[in-house]
Amino acid sequence: MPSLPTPELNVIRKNIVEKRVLNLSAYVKNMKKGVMIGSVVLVCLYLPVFLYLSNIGEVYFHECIKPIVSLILIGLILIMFFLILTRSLEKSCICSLIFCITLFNYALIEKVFQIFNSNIKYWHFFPSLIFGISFILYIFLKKCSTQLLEIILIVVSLVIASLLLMNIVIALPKIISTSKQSVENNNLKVASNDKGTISQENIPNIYYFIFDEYSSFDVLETYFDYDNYAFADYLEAQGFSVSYDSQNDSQQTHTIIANYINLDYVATDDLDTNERAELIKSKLLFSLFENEGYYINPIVGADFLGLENQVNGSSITIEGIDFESIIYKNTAYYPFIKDNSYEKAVVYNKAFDTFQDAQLYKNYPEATFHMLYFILPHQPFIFDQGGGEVPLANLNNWLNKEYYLGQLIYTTKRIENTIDNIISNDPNSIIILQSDHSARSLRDESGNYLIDKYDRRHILNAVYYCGEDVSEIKSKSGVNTLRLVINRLFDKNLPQLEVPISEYEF
Amino acid sequence: MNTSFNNKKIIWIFAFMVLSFWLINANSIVASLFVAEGNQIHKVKLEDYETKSPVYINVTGESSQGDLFDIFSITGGAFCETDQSNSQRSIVGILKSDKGVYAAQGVSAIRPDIYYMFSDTKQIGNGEVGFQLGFSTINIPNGVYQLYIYVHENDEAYGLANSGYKYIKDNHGFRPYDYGASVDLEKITTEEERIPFRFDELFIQDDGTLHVKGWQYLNDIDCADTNIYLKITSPLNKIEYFELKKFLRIDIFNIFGDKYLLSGLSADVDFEFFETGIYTMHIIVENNSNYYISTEYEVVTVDKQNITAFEHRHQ
Repeated sequence: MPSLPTPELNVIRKNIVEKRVLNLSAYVKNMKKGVMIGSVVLVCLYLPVFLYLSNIGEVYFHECIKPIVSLILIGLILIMFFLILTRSLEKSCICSLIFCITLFNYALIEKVFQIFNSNIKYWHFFPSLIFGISFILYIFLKKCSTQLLEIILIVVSLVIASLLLMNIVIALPKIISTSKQSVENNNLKVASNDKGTISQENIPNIYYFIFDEYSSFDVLETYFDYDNYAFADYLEAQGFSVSYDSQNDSQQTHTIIANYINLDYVATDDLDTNERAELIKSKLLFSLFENEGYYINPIVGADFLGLENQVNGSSITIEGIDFESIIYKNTAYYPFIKDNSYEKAVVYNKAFDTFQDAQLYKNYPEATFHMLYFILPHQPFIFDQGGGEVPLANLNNWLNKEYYLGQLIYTTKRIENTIDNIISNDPNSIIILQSDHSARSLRDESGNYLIDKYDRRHILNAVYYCGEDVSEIKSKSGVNTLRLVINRLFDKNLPQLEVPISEYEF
Repeated sequence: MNTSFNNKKIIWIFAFMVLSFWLINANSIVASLFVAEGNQIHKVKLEDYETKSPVYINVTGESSQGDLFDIFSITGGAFCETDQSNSQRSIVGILKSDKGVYAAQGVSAIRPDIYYMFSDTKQIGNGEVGFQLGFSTINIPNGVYQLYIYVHENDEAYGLANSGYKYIKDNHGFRPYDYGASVDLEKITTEEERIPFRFDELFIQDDGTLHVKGWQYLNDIDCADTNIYLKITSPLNKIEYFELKKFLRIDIFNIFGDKYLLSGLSADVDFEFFETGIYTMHIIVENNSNYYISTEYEVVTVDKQNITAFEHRHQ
C-alpha cells in the first residue's frame, strides 16, 4: 500500500486536531450553557426538595411533584424573558437566578422587613423589591464581564447542588426508617389484636361520620322545599337502616357532640362552652372502642374531638394546609393562597377522597374505628352543589336557601360516593351517619328565624350494620343509636336513655 | 449612545415616580378595591350617631386574623333594652382617636351567654344580643383608639356607647392596648372619697409582674367613660403609676347599678422593684381629663418577692 507523503499526513493530522479542539470547545460551550441553565433549575428545585426532606415521613413524594414542575417552569420562563431583554444567556441566567431566589423566598424576606414595621404590606414591598433588584441588576450587569457572570453561575450551581446533597445525606436515615416503618405497617394488618372482649375474627371496621347541621328529611322538605328522600332510598338500597324521626336533646353542637362522645346526656346547654369542650375531649367513646381492641383513626375534624387529624394519601397541617400550599406560602404567590375557609374545602375533599384509595382498607389493623367530623353542610358555605366555590360574600348567607342547600347537595353526593367505596371494599363494616342538629339559622328578610326551635333538633340518623337490619335505631336519638350499635357489637346491655329536652330557644 | 443612555435614565426616573405614587396611595387603593365590603372601615363623625337609649356592651373576644389586610375581629354583646321587634337590628363599631373617627359595619349574632347574663335585669327580646366586627386596619393611622359601639335595635331603641376598650396601632400592627405599663401621671389634683375599690387577686407572678384583679368605680360616673390607674408607693417612697384594664363585672353592675358595668379592673403590672417592706396602692380614676385619687388604699406586705398580706384601709 502506497504511503502518503509526510506533508499531506501532517495536514490531515492538523485537521483532525482542529476538529477535535472545535468539538471540545463546542462541548465545553454547551456544558457551560447547561451549567448556567442548571443553576437556575437547581434554585427552583431547592425549596420544594428542602421542605420535603425536612418533613420526610410526614409528606408523600408525589405531593412535591406539582410544585417542583411549576417552580422549574417559572425559572425557564424567566430565562426566556431575560434572554429577550438582554440577548445574553449569562445575563439572562443571572437575572433569572436572582429573581427566582427572591420570588421563591419572598415571604421570608418580607417578614424580615415587617419585624421593623408591620405596616409594610405586600403591595408596598413587592413592587419596591422588584424595582430595587431590577435597578441593582441593571447597574451590576453593565459593569460585569461575561467571564465573571459564568463563574458566579458555576459557583451558585455548586453551592446549591452541595446543599441539596447535604440535605439528602441528612435525611437518609429517616428515609430508610420510613420505608422500614411502611413495611411494618403492612405487616400489622396480618398481626392479630389481643385486646378486647370480642372475637378478632371478622371484626367489623367502624366508619363514624358526623355531619354538622345536616338537616333531617322532614326539615328539608318543610323549610327548604327540598326532597331529599332520594338519598334515603339510596341508603336503604345499600342496606342502611334509616331513622326518619330521630331527634336530639339540643340544637347546640357542643352539647350534642359532648353527649355523643360520652354516650350519655352529661352536657346541657347551660354549661359553659369550655366545660362542654372538655367533656368532648373526655374521649369516652374512643376509649371504649380502644378497650375492645379497636384502633382509632381520626380522619377529619378530629381536633374538635381532642384527637389528632390525619388525612390519608396527603399531608395536612392542623390549620388544614396541604404541602403544596406550604411551599407556595414561602413564595411571592402567598397572598393568593385561599383563606382558611376555602382550605377547609381542600381538607374535606381529601377526607372524602380517602375512601377511594383501596389502601385505606389495607393499611390498618383489622379492627379500625374511622372517625370523621365534618363541619358540613354547616356554614361557611364553601361548596356549591357541584363542589365549586361559593363567593366570599355568601359564605354565611342564610337569607338565600340556595347556599345551604348547595352545600348539602354536594355533601350528599360525596357521602353516596364514599358509601359506595366503603361497601365495595369493606362490606362487613359498620357505617354510622349522623348529624348533630338540623339547619338553624334560616331567616327571612326581616331577620326572623324560620325553623321551629324543636324541629332544629331533628337529625340525620342512619346505620349500616354489616348489611344486617338494624331497624331498632328508628326514632332513636343520636346517643341511643350509638348505645344500640355498641350493645349489638360487643354484646353489652347499655340501657336506652330518656332524651332530655332543652328549652334553649336559639 | 448618549441618547440611549438618556432614554434609559428617563425610563428609570419615570418608573421610580410611578412607584412612589403607588407607595403613597397603595393602602387606600388596596382597601377600596380588595377588602371585602363587610371588612371596610370609613371615616365618620361621632356626632352622626345619636343616642336614645342606654347601650350595654360586653367585649368578649379580640383577635387579629393575621391576614394580608390586617383584619381585626372583635366579638361580644351589645344591646339596647326594647320590648319591640329588633328584626332590623344593626351594629356599627367605631374607633375614635385624635387622628380621626372610623366606623366599621358589624354583624349581629346570637349570644345565649350574654342573654342569660342580662335577661333577669334587662328587657331583652331574644338572644340576638351579640355582635361580630371584622375590619381592615391597613388604612387607619397609627394611634390609640377607643372602641364605641352603636346599636340600632329599632326606631325606639338605639344608641352609641363607649365600650371602655382601647386599641393601639403602631409599627407592630393593630392590637389591644398594652395595659400594665408604667405611665407618667403628674396631673392628679383631687383626692376623692367616692372611689370604692377592692382587689380580689393580688400576687407577684413568676415573671416578676404584679397580677392585680378587682373592681372600682367613681361614684355616679359611667365606668365606660373613665380610665383607671394604679399608684404604687414603695417603702422608700418611690411612686409609680400603671394603667389598668377595665372589664365587665356583672356582680357589681347588679348591686350598684348600670353605670358600673365596666367596673372590673385587671392588669399584669410591670413593676420591677418589689423588695421586702410595706407598699401602699391607690386607685386613680380619670374622667374628662380630671384625675381623682382614691382616699381608700391597700396596704400590701411584701416579703422576699412574695405578697404575704394585703389589707384595705380608709383614710
